[in-house]
Amino acid sequence: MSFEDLLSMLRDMHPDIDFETAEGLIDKKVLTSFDVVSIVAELSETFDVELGAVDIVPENFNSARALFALIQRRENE
Amino acid sequence: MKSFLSYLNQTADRLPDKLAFSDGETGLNFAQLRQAAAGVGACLMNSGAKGEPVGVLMERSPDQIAAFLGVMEAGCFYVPLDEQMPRERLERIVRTLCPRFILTDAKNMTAAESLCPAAEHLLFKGAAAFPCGGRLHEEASGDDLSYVVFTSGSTGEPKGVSIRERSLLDYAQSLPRALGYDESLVFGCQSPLYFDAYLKELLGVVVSGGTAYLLPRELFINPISLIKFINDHGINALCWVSSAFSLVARLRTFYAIQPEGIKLICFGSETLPVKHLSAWQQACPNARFFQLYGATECTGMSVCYPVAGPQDPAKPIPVGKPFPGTRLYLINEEGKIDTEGEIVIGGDCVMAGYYKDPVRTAEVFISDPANPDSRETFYRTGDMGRFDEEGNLIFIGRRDQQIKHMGHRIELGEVESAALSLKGIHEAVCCYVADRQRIDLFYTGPAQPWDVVIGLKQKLPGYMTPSRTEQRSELPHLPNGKIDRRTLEQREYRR
Repeated sequence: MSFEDLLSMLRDMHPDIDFETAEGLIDKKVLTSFDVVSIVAELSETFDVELGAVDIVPENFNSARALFALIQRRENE
Repeated sequence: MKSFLSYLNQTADRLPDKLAFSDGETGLNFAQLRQAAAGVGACLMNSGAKGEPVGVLMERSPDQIAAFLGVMEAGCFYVPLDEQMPRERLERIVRTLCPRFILTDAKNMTAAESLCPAAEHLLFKGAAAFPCGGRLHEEASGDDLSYVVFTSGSTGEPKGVSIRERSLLDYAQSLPRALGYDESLVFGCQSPLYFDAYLKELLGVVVSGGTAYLLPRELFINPISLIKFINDHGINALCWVSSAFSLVARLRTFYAIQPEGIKLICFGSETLPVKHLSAWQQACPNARFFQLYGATECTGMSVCYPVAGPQDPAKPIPVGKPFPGTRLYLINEEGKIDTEGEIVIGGDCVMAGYYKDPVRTAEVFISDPANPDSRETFYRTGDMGRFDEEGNLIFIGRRDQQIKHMGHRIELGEVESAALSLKGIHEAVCCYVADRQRIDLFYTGPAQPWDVVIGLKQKLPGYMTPSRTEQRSELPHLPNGKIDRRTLEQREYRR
């Protein structure tokens, strides 16, 4: 999956958030734990990307770039 | 009759120095909790409060619980106003209540003043330190209200569930016994304090002498830290909504870290998938597991089922048998008692009604189905159920468009009416995709989806905003002109 694919998925879920530039999504409480679980579920269903508990930390969800970097690390494993 | 607060007197006499509530950073022991509640009560009475609503707009904290108890001590009833509720919802609640007094903290003072300028705003810290004897009232009439909590209503107007002290006392007598509470329990409270769900922990502390930690919300974005918090604080009892247990299991948390010493697990409010239950059962081999069922209108939980051993994934887990003193029937469309039908509940647990709303109260109250001449009122839950061979209640589903999402009760109609109130929306309909725990909104009209999402976020709490918002050129209709939900669902989800 490309960064564009991820952006498009996130935009579908939260069209009010500019994922290209937004930072601190968790720290600023833009995304809640419910949102994180939905994103994890959507990644699994749409892209077969399986994230585990060690991945679910605020740093990995604070921006689309951070999330994409995490996905790439998992795909390269 | 004896008051609910007499339990706190007893426990504080017995265990004054024991920790009652903590958020991991600050805490109140039983003596401090009682002292703070007595101070708040004395301060409110001194200000002239009597038998009226007192809004509590505070951060989720041990102090907030002391504020609730203090309002009861003053002979008033508390109404939680959450800092995270959208402004419009808070305003509607305040319009219904017209409170003369609001208890708040330094962080929320400005918000409280702008929300309700006419009210007198009391800072918790000052109120808790108000000079008083320190003991709480032992006697109560039972008919006075203890609290009012607001739940979703299909018209968009939240309904204020009004609970009398006798209902709270009934819960205090039944729940700790049914679940085998004792003072060794250390609860990890997941729920917000603006719903009745936290009463399970409140009773575990005030009635049974246990301790409760208010789990910081952020921990649920970080499941390993959540389990670590549980282990570090010796938490051994978890009464959570099913989706919170599912969340931890789904993220495969137990491969990384195991909870230690869990003795009691209670889940409810939604279905817990058997595979997620099994993951918890394996991770907590010494815990007793219960499934609970109930309604806010019946003071929390009314039915419980001890879940022992592996469950058959093909069969629903029963919700069990009602607590002693609670009467539960299933009624068919003619209103007659049956083995399958709508769940109706009677007993001391039943609410006084929806606050200042006799019309919607009358819609959900019926007379005793077993004895229509009796004056006892039963609450129609809107949930459908059946009994299994052992007489355990099995939950089947909802009669209407109400759903349970992430532990919150939501009328899809409320989401739809919020959408319809936005500019550029002609028609709107919501579908709940249960297996993905997602609310989808479909609408017609020129409004752009992102404008709709932004508009909805200003009107609805986060848990009610749709995960997907889709514009359609048209929606299917039934011959009577209503939106054809079934056809829409088949089209969208190939159900």
